[in-house]
Amino acid sequence: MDPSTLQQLLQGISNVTWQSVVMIAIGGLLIFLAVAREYEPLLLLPIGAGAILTNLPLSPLIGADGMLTALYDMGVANELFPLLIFIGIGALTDFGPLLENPKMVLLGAAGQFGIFLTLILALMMGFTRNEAASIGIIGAIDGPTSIYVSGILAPHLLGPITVAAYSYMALVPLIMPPVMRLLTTKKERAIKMPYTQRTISQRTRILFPIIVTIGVGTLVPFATPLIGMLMLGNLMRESKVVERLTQASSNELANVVTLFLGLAIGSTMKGEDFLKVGTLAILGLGLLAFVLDTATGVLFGKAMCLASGGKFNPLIGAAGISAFPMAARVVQKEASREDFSNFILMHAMGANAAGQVASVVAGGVLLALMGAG
Amino acid sequence: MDNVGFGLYLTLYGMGTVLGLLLLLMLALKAVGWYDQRRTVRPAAREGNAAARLTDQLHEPLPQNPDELSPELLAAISIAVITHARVRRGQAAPAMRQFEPGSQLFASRWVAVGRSYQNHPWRREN
Repeated sequence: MDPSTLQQLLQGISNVTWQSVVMIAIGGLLIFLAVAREYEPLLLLPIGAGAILTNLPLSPLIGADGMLTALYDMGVANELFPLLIFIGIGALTDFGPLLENPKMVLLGAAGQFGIFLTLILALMMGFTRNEAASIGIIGAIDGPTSIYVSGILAPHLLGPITVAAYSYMALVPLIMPPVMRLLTTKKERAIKMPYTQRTISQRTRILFPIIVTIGVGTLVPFATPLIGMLMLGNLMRESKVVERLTQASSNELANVVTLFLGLAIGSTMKGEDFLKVGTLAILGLGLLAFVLDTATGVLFGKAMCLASGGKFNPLIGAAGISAFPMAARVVQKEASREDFSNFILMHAMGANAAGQVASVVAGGVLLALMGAG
Repeated sequence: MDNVGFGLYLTLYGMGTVLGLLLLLMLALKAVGWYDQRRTVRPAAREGNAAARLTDQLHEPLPQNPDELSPELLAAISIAVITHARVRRGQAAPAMRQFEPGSQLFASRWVAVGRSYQNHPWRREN
């Protein structure tokens, strides 16, 4: 047999590199976490598959006309996919608990402190300003916002940032409780807050997305794409006249785009680019961002507890991070762990919905401050 | 050092803007809620006045034998009983949450029912 023929037949094996082997193992780990542990399976499974497909030797999927390259160009490079997912999130989100108790909005702001504290740390570690801002946005604890902002400021870090954001989001039930317990006393965690349900009219529910879009869009134009799509989904839901569009946005559209987004993000995890010391630093800083967000939220909750004369349960502050609705569930779990009859879920849901809006606003503000265009 | 200064600048302006914006949002939501409540309370107050007039009419001595009650009066009493039961049912959910319900499952069931009643996106409000 001609040696060149043999070389052609074995070119797959001859192009295996240690980086590709490690990345295939990482892809396998992501799939394992998705399947065996059910950690954000909707995102981690396609990302893991994308990482494996990308790192196979001479993978045609990431060539100039490869499918994964096409998906990346079609929806990630131009920020289309995260925005489409936001329509689905808006259609799925009930802002009722927030509308019943508007002061919870402030807790959403407190939950964004981690973004900026992480950003400072990233700058101190030697990352460029754009990279530091992209790493800081992991602290928004909102996948699509992280992808949107880092896609504009530092597209080369999209892979590690997305993996960090979604992995830690799945680990919220493990990351948050120790911080919450460390910063609160047993007595504070057991504070009961009576819940008086106020009926929110359909008029208010429809006005909310319109007011938020016009207000935020006018004051922070960079946030318009994010907040506009989130609120469009919510307007469709609350208007109750486009049931088919609401269902399609929250099911078919969100599912298809999630699959495409996962694969496209996975395609950015090329071994040569991903396996760097910087990636480990990003993963560490991402974890720190989650911890800082939770801590500042709880501390703000403690301030509200003091201001209310001990009638406010500071645990609710921790729900001010985004991670909707998992953070609220974790808060309720912690409260009922202390006192089984303590029921603060609806208050926490209000703070959590505020965190969803606040993370989007923070993303827009960060883009504006960085002068992204 | 420049970078740390830049980070502090971003933190100051960034968090300031986020907090300011959300404060504005809170005020807007409070204003909408106040307007909404006002529009809900006013018709309710008018209905309350009408009910007071009816109550005055009921202060006239009632017949001792129930069979002698007029159909209009019977209808009014039936509506009052049904409304009373409906109001009490509505009040039950927060009451269950405010006081020890006995079991978490029991409390959650009340919340779930109340929440889904309020949030069915496919049902128009009357």
